[in-house]
Amino acid sequence: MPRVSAILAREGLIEPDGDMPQDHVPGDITREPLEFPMARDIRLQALSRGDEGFLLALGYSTQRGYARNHPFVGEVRIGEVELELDVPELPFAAPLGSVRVTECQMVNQFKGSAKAPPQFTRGYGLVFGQSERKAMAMALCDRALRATELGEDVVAAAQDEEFVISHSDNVQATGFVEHLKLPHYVDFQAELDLVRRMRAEHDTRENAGKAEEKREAAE
Amino acid sequence: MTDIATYNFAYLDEQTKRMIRRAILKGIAIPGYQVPFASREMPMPYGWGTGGVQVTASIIGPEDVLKVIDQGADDTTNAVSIRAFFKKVANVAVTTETAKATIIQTRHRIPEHPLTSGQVLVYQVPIPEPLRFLEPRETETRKMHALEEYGLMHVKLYEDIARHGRIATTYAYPVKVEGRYVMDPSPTPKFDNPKMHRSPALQLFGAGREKRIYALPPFTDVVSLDFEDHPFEVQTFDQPCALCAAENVYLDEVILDDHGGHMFVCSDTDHCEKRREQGHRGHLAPETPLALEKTEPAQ
Ligand SMILES: [Zn+2]
Repeated sequence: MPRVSAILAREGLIEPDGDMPQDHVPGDITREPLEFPMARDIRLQALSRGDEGFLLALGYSTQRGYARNHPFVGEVRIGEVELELDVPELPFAAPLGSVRVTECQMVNQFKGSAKAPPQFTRGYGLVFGQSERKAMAMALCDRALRATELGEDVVAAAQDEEFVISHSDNVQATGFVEHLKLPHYVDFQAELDLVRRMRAEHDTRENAGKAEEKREAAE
Repeated sequence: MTDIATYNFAYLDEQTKRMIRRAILKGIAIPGYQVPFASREMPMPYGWGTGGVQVTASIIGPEDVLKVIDQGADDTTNAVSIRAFFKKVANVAVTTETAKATIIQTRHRIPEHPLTSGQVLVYQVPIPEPLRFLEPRETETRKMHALEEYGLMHVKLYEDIARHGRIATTYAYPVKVEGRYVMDPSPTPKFDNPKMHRSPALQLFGAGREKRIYALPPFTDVVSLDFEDHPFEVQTFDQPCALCAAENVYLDEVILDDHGGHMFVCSDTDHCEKRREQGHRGHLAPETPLALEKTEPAQ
C-alpha cells in the first residue's frame, strides 16, 4: 500500500525517506552497547522500545514549544508484519509468525537552515501492537532528535539524544528505581556517621559562638 | 530440574560468554578503563546485579566454589537469590566462608578476611562512571578519561574541604588506578578502599544496565584520591562489634527497640561468625553458640 507521504514527495515538498549509506549494516541494540552520538537506525530501535509515557511527555513538550516543529500526522497505519528469527546454527531465517505494529509518518513544517532547504520534514514512529498514541509520540521525538542533522539549535530536552535515549528504556528505568528497595544500610551507615560528625562540629561552633557573644555582651 | 528444562552451563550461551570474556580481558589489559560490552537481559531486574551475574556466569566453572554477599552478608535477599541462581544454572558448590570461595560476587562490601591469590572478587556496579555526578554526559566523560582530564574531580573534592572541612564522600570514593584511570570502586564504603590496593585477588566489575566492565588485575596500584594536607582516611568506630568484639572492621548499626537503643555489629557476617566460633565474645553475644552449615557441595 503506497504511503500518503509519497504523494507529497512527487512535488518535492517533503524530504525523501531517510536513507543509510549503501554499505551500512543495520545496528542491533540488543547485541551492541549504545554509543553517542548514534546513527538514526539505532536511535529508532531505541525509541521503538522506549517507554510510552516517557515518549508521550517528550513529544507533548515539543508541541508546547520546547523545540516546536509544527507537526501534521501524514499517516497512521496498523498492520501485521512477519517475524523471523535468525538462528546462528541455521542457514535460513526461521519464520515465527506475525506481529501487529503501528506506524506513523509525521510531516513537520521546516523553514530551512544552512544545512537544508525549506520543505516538509519527517518524523517516524514504529511500535509494537496497536498503539497510535505511542507511534505518534515516537514520531515527534524522532523529528526532534534530528535537530543536529537538520542544522537546528539543540535547546530542549526532546532534542537531546543522550538524555532521551539513555532514559527511554523502561525495563532499565524500572530496575534501577526499584533497586532502591534493596538494602543500602552499609552506605547509609557511612553517610550517617558523616552527618553525625558534621552536626557535632556544627554544635560545637554554635556553642562557642554563643559563649563569645555572651562574654562580649557582659563586657 | 527435568532433562528438558536444562540451561546452558551458567545460563548464558557460549557466544555471549565469549563476548564478555573478551571485554574482561580487555579490562584486565587496561586496568580501570571502562570497557563497553553487549550486556544481555537477565532473568532479574537491572540494578539488581545483572552486570555482576554476567561476569560471574562468564568466568565460573564446575569446580568453582561461589560466595555471594550483599552489604557484607550472605543472608540478604539479593545474595540469597543470586547464590540460588548459580546453584541452579551452574550446579556449583556454594559457601559463606570467604577463605573457601574461589569466586565472590559482592554488592557494597569487600570481605574483612584478606583475599588471596587465585580468588576472584566480582563487584555489582550501578553507575560505573566516577565522573557521572559531576558531568552526566557519557560523551563528555569518555573524553575526560581519554585526555586524563580529572581536574573537575579534584575541584569537587576541594570544594568539600572548603565547605565541610573534609572530603564529604563516604562510599563510592573515587580511586586512581596504576596512576592512570580514575575509577569508581562501586558503592562500597571508603573503609574498603585500601583492600583494593595491590590485592592478590583478581577484581572484576560488572555494570549491566550501563553496559560496562572494568577490572583490576592482581597487585594493581589503587590509590584513593586526596590532597597532601587532607590525606585519605577510612571510617573508624568508637566501639567494637557487640557480638564478636572485633575492632577495625566495618560495623552496621542495628536498632534494638523503639527508643533508639542500638548496637554495632560486623557487616561481614562470615567474619563475625568465624570470630564467635573462635570464642571471641562481644558484650551482647547470645549464650548459645552458632552451628551453621557453611558450605554446600555441588549436587
Ligand atoms: Zn562481629
